[in-house]
Amino acid sequence: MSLKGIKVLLVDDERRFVETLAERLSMRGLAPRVAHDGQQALKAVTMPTDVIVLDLRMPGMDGFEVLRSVKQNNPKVQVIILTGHGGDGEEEMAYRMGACDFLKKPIDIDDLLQSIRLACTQQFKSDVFH
Amino acid sequence: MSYTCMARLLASAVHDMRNILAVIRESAGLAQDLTSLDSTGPVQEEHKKELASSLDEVRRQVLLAAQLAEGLEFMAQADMVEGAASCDLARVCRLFCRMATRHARATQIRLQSSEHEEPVWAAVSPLDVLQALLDILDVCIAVGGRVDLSFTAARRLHDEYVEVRVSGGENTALALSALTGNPLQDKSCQCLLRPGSEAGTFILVWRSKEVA
Repeated sequence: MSLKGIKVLLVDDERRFVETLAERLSMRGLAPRVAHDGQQALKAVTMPTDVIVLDLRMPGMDGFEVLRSVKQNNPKVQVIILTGHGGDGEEEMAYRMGACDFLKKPIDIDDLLQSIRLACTQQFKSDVFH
Repeated sequence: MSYTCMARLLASAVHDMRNILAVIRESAGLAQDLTSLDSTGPVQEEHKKELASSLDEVRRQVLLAAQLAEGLEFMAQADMVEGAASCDLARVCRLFCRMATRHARATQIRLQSSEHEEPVWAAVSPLDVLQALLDILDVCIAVGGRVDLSFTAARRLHDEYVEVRVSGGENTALALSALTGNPLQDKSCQCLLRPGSEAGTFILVWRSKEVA
């Protein structure tokens, strides 16, 4: 499955990380946008979005609150958690709340691309069968 | 110092380290991407600038990682320093701020310590100092964050102490109120937090070393 033009929203308060990652995804044909906190993320997700790559620990609204809101209001949007923080409890909670993958930083970009690919496949299946 | 306190500081430091590694990985990856591009003219110049910026970022992050490693090393030697009767307050404040930065930032508190101050040796265990600083941070977190909190080790005559300054941030007044009245009384043992001579400051002293 080609990732060209896939609309990815990257949400992380670590600006340098998220902006560099956006540039690298863009070089690979994806269409990334960036949000630096939960509020920005919820505003950004009102625009067409296929996948959200979401950090958990952020100042103000944390990743779980964003995940809950996205799954309530935009259930088709797939959410991948990418965090520097998180034990087994948080991973389990993220899956229960509807995240499609849980990744820990630092991550190889090919692994992230693979996760985005799988997320898009799930979204496609969901569109076809429901 | 309790194991819970130590675990919380370590968790914050590990979280920070993962973020540092993530920035290094992406910056190095971008540098690799840029060198593999076939570009000429102004585009090549632009790529060169980006490449230099990525490598600068790698260098900056490695320095941050080294500071964190110093903090982790300090914690790793905790069993040796547990019985220590003295420590450099300036170093402990610096290490605490470095290790607790991520934890504090998630709750919208900005931590700071003076970076180039002289050593201030005091007759107190370093773990007791860490515990007290974490308790002060907890008091500020409990009132809702959005506070700038700084710790500066100082000496007046023969008395050593840590000056705690609450400044900036939307919840400064609440934090100042919460820190008034020695809230550490039931938390950190053997220490006292009392208002400083300047508005917005407190003096953290250990009972055997009270500042007049």
